[in-house]
Amino acid sequence: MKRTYALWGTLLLLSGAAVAGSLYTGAGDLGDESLRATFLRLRALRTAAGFGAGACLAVAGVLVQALFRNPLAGPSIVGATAGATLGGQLALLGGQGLIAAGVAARLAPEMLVPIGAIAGALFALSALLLIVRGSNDPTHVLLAGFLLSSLFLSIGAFALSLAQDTWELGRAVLSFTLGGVSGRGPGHVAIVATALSAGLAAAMLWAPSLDVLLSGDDEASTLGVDVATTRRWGIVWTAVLSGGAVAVAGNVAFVGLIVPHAIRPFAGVMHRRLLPAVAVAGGLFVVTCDVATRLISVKANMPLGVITGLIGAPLFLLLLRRSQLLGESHG
Amino acid sequence: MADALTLRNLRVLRGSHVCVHDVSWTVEAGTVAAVLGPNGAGKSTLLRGIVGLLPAQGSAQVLGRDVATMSRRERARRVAWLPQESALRTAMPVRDVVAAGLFARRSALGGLTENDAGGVDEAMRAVDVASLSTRPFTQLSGGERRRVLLARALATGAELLLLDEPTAALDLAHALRFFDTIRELTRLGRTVVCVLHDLNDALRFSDLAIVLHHGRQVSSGRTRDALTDDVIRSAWGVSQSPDAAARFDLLESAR
Amino acid sequence: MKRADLLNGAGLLATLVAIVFAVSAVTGSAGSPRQSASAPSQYDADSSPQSAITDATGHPVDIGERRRVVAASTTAADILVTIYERDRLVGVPSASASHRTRAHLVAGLPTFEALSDLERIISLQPDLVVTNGHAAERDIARLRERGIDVFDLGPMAGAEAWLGDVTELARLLDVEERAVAVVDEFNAAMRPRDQTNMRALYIGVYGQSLYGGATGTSYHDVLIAAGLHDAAADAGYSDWPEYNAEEVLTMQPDLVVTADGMGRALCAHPGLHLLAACQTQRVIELPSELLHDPGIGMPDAARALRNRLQTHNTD
Repeated sequence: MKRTYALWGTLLLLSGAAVAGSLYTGAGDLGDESLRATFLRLRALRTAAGFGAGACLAVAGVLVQALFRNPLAGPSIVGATAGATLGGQLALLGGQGLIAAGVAARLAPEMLVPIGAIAGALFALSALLLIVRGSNDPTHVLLAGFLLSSLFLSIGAFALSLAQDTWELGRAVLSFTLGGVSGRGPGHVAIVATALSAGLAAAMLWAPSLDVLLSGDDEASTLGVDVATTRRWGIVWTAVLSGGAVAVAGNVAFVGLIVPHAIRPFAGVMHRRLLPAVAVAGGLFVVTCDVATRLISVKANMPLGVITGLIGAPLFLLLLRRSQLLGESHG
Repeated sequence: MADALTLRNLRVLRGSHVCVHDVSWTVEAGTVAAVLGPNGAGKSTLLRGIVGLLPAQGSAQVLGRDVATMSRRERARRVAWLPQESALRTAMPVRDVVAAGLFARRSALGGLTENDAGGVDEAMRAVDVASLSTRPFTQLSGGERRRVLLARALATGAELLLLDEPTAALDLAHALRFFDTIRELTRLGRTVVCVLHDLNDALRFSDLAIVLHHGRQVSSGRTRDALTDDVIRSAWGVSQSPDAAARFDLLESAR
Repeated sequence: MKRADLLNGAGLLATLVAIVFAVSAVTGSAGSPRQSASAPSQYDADSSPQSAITDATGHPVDIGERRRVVAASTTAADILVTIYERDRLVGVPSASASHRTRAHLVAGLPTFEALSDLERIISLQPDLVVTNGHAAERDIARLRERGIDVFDLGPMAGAEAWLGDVTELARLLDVEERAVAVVDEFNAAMRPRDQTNMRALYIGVYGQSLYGGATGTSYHDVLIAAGLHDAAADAGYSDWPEYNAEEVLTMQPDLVVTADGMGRALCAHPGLHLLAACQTQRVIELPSELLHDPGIGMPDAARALRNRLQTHNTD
């Protein structure tokens, strides 16, 4: 109990600091009274988008690690991340044409990419469920997810090469691919907040099943868990969470893999305690990395996904070493 | 006494391959029953077939209700299964592992009620793991793990316990204590079916037995009646050595 | 264990050394015929500095007329059809052939996708390939190995760089006098007139990304040629910066120039509805083919921008 208070106290304190830092850091000058409110609003939106995306990815990470009892699983393994990324890329490619043709006249132009990403995630999810239909073997899911991801990545690379015809479009597609939360608006925050609340609520509802599922399919099944249904819905919610994250923040690497590992030693492995803590920690991690992108370079924007990867990979190795020393393995 | 488990022409399949052929067996409530046979006889497969982990034909009834007609949660409340080795590789605290036994008794939203918590404590006390309550499962010894898993099976409150080699990882003292525990359980009206390797253990601690060989039922009945010299010779392929005979005699006289 | 470490370590080391040797051997042998092939010209270059021009990659290319020239970039194609005989042009990029306003200038010429389409380019049997900055060095090296002259104009960086390209290419092909008229005409068209005090900003909007063009880009030169101040250059930006909304708001341009269809997305970008240009509807959309043209199209873009400014001012 004491440990729980300490964890939440630390998380909330650090999150407060990260949010404050995020509001304080930026290219605009807060001394300019006429623009101060605007700058703060922009930074608040960006912070909310980053926090939501980080939380989504971290919760999705916990889901897949439990569903596949694989500590190396990240949300990307079910293919939804790659699908959402491809959807966003295609929306960027086709978006200019759609806007010019007035097809998207009723739609806020800034919503084209998120909508493309969500469509991509849903497409990836449907394809995955169609491929593994009827099979209860996690290996099939992992293989199908891997194949779909590879396919989407190849098509995405082709889209990127097509975009090179227009130099700015090529930059934009690449920038989306590498992740970032600059210039996000209320629409983006609404998307990620919806995905997060739905995904987190669903994950909390499935939490007891996920706990039992850590003992493997057979034991969980005899203890009363509907393994196939749990896994199917777990995959769906993972897709919703990671699709929502990609829709507002592009492809942000490593969050879903590392945050659950970093939090388990403090929150434990039981999902009702783990999930909320992981959500806050994921948000905290991405907001901190986003502040870092703003501090490192004001002009040549450092992609968020690169920073999360640069910080995430060494941190992951550190955690891995630590857990080896403790002789523990976190499923 | 009512029958806790009734098998009629039960066949268990792995894919399209029939691994256990037409087993018919009755286990009375409140008894300890042993499933015996050499390696590969289909003992574990039989338990998996009963509990629904493998497809089965024929019928398996628990307290007069066909297992196949039960819902997943109902089956979990009536039949507990303890595997040879748990797939749990997570540093989950022992108490949470045991509490997983209550899964089928909880609503989707519900946490543990006080009543439930009492059941968990009781199960942990019964197999002497109460002192391990906060220890991570992954840091336990093999014997401790088995006892924790047995506590989980007890916590389900199931009338029928299917235990797959429950004493395999236990030292002599804990094994004896374990048999005391299950004897105690049967007095409380539960029924225990366990796969055993050691025929001495079976003779000493079980009331009933079934002997399987190549997936077929060789004999069944009261343990002493089921384990005749002929059965041992045909199933295990050994003729009783004088030494083994002496051990049997010793056990007989000890009863 | 120890022995396995030693064996594998030695093997690894040997492999690395072998790779270094193999690479140096191959590049060395590939380099020598190239050097021997161009040896006379280098000799000439030493005796008479005027006989070769060093291109953007630092490679000397002989001055002289050519019979079969391939333009490997749209800019190169634009310059070549202006200053050289069209029948000596034997290949252009497909982007030139599909250009909305200048396709007719290269109609009927063989096309290819990019310089990386080496086989196609070699099959055109050129004696000179002219390219622009972004080409990969290995593609250029493959062409030079085959004895084909490759002249790299370097990156496109606004009007001055483009005029330099024109002059240099004319010198290379020994038709210097033809460049003079082109340069004069271009300079006249780009001379600022109807000077205003308005501070303008070029912004391209792609999803949530905002891209600019400041000092050293054609966007900057077009704004200046239209009689505007470039707010980005005034704020110290150069080349092609990526902006966020805060930076754009800080510059507070009176006017924003963007490509057609992007005005709505610009003002819908979070925060930018507060931009004076968005509130007073001073967002001018130009046809993207004009706006994004880094070379010969700049005067047309400037002219179009001037016209739009006039209609805006008379509104």
